[in-house]
Amino acid sequence: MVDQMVPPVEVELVEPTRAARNRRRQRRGRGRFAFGFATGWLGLCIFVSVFADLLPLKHYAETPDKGVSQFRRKPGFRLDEPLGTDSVGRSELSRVIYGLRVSLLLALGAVTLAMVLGVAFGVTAGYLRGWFGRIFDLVTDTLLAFPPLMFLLALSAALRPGFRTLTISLIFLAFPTQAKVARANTLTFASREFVLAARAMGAKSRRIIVREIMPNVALPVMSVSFLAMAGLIVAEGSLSFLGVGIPGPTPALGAMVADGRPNLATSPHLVFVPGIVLLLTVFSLNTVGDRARAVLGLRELAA
Amino acid sequence: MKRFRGLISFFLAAALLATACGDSKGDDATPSQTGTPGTGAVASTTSLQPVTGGKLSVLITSETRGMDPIAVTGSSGLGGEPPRMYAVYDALMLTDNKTGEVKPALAESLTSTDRIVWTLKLRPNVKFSDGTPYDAEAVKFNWDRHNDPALNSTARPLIQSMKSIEVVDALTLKVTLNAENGQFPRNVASNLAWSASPTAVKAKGKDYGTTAANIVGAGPFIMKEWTRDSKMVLTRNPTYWQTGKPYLDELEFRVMPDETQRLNSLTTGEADLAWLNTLPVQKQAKDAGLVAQRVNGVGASGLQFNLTKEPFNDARARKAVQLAIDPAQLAQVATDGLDEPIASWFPATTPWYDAAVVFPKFSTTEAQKLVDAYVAEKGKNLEFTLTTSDAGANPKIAEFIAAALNKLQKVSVKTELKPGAQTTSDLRAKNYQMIPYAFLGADPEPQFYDSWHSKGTRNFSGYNNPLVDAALLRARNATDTATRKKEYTDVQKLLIDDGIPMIITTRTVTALTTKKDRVQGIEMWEDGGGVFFDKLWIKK
Repeated sequence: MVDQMVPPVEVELVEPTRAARNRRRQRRGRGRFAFGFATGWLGLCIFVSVFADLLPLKHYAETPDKGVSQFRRKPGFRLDEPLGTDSVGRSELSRVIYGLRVSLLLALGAVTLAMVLGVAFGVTAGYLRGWFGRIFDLVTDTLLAFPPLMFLLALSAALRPGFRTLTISLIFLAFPTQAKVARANTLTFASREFVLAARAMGAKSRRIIVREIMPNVALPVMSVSFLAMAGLIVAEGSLSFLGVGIPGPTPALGAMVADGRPNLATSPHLVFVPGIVLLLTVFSLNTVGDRARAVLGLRELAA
Repeated sequence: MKRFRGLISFFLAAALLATACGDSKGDDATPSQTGTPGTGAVASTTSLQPVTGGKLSVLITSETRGMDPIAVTGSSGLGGEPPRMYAVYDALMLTDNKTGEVKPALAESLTSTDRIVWTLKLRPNVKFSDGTPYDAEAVKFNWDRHNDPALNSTARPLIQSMKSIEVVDALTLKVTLNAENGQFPRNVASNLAWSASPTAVKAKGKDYGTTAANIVGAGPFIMKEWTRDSKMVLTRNPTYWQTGKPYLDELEFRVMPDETQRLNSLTTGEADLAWLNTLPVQKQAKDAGLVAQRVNGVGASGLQFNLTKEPFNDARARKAVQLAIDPAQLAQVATDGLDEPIASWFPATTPWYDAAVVFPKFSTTEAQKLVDAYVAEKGKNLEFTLTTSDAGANPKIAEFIAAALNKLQKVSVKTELKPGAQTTSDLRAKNYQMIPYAFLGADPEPQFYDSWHSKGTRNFSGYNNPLVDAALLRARNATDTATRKKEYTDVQKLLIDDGIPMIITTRTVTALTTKKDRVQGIEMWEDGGGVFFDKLWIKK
């Protein structure tokens, strides 16, 4: 029996007590609802984003033809504009969906590119170490040390705001974390037996990196991507809120919140509709991201 | 540096667009006589005696480009730069916002018999706070400085319209103009109101007014400290020419560009006085129980067509754009429905309003006809880019207009968002097709002339109509309101016939807001761009 063979202190580490197991089960039970909701919401988001053009929606930039009765309508249980209209008379539902689509696309694009770059540089730095590793540390630490919003604002001011600028800015934001995760995992795997074995059999560095290390590093990096996406959606929202995000009339959730802010007292839905969508999306990404990280055994890299 | 210049021109556009004139400070106007301009409530109507002492904290809308009269020439500007200029420099002359009359202040008079040779008489015994005299030499020195091309003053065209500036004696300046100008005092009040001590300016050269050090004027307050983009603290000028004034010991300006934030600071008591310039926030202030003194300016904001480029070198294109926009919807978008839809160039409350001169009625069918005619002749669709600035409701307005126009057949409008400073330099360089344009003021002079005369200093559209030129000149040289009104009515008609520009709102409403009864003696000049700080006092 294991219990008899090792000191009790270590037993706790290897095999949790019954109470601890129960606690974890309870947490999981609660987590299961949140996880279910999160995947459901993300599924819905992805569905409406992909099929936005096919849904029976008004165009997001379409204003009413005449009169002012269609301006700032409140949400209600009706087929016509269930989420109300904004201060220019445009459909909130359509704008939220297209805004969400833009946010998701931006975050996904930026995270994917950041992941590619992060893995490339992170793995190289972790494998080579030496001067390349030191420069890598310097660059990533510097990027991490920048207050993110300041950094984005400066970039948006220097470049012309738009989809491309925003994607590039967001890559800068997501890159250092991804790269650091890649590097840390590379350091671990590079000293493992199978790498040693490959090397002993005469494999070159390039082959070891591509065949032995990359596949092992890719999963943990992907698992932090959900969290990174959540962060990027918030960052994009902040930029749009400050008016340096995607230029109109393309909707963006942050810009919609900013647009509704002056009328918060009279038309709170202008702030709350996009605000709640933003909140649920970020919450869902965080929940799914946490689970992904736990499943992929990355708790030690949680920070 | 280029960027900085862009910024300067942006603020210029915001600040410089008006006539200024004077409230007579020689009379013993007490705070109890403060009137009620505009439609708002009055801050002080009680017959209380002013109390000396106390510190007043004022929230202003933007940081100044500098405290040099060369940098900030205008006296209009909705609570941005001019208030501070007045506090430090006082003014030669400013406009009374109730009567619209030009009234001298540090000047005693500015008169002419032939509208070419003007005599400026100064008040005796006025001294700058460094002890040097505020005399004809000092004023001439300041005016001559505007003519230095290196300093890039916006008042330079005005100085160049003068053949000579001669010092007759210590208190008299004789100005000879190149051509008749019956509204010369308005031009002076608008662009040449502030004068700095020549001694101080010479000591600092072109760096004068960029830091708090050595800023010397003849105003009610003197500079104590200035932290850019944060606050400016001024203290009472003990040698101010009006005995017993100012009432306040200290005056603090804090920069707060966000309108809602200014309102919040006022509500929580962090500040005593704030400029609120948009109708929705003014309404919020009223609902929160704050008291505002409002001033309605004669100004218009809208979108300028570039007449030197396609497609707006064609009147049909311009008129189609004007016709396709529902003014009711535009008012809803621009002011949250708090302002009336516009129907004419000037609000009915002004002398320049003529019920017979109105904009063409909203009609998408008429607009489409014009577009069809345009497209048939040119052989291509009506396409253009609407450039807009990121300030205030501008992006929303641009999106709305583009969406409304894109509903027409054969029309394609794109919007382009740029920083305010950039749109201003684009406007000046005529590097646009359609772009925001505004002028402020308390009188059509000088902005109307400057904007629509073919040789006007602010004619950024390339508009050139000899009939308009002639009418504007006649209006400028007339001195009675009836003649001026007739001429301006003609100008309005001609502008409407030519389909320029696209007006969004014809009212500027500034409100200087305070907690009930806290600040007394509020009297504003011009379009509400500034307040006579020497007359303010705090109720204990």
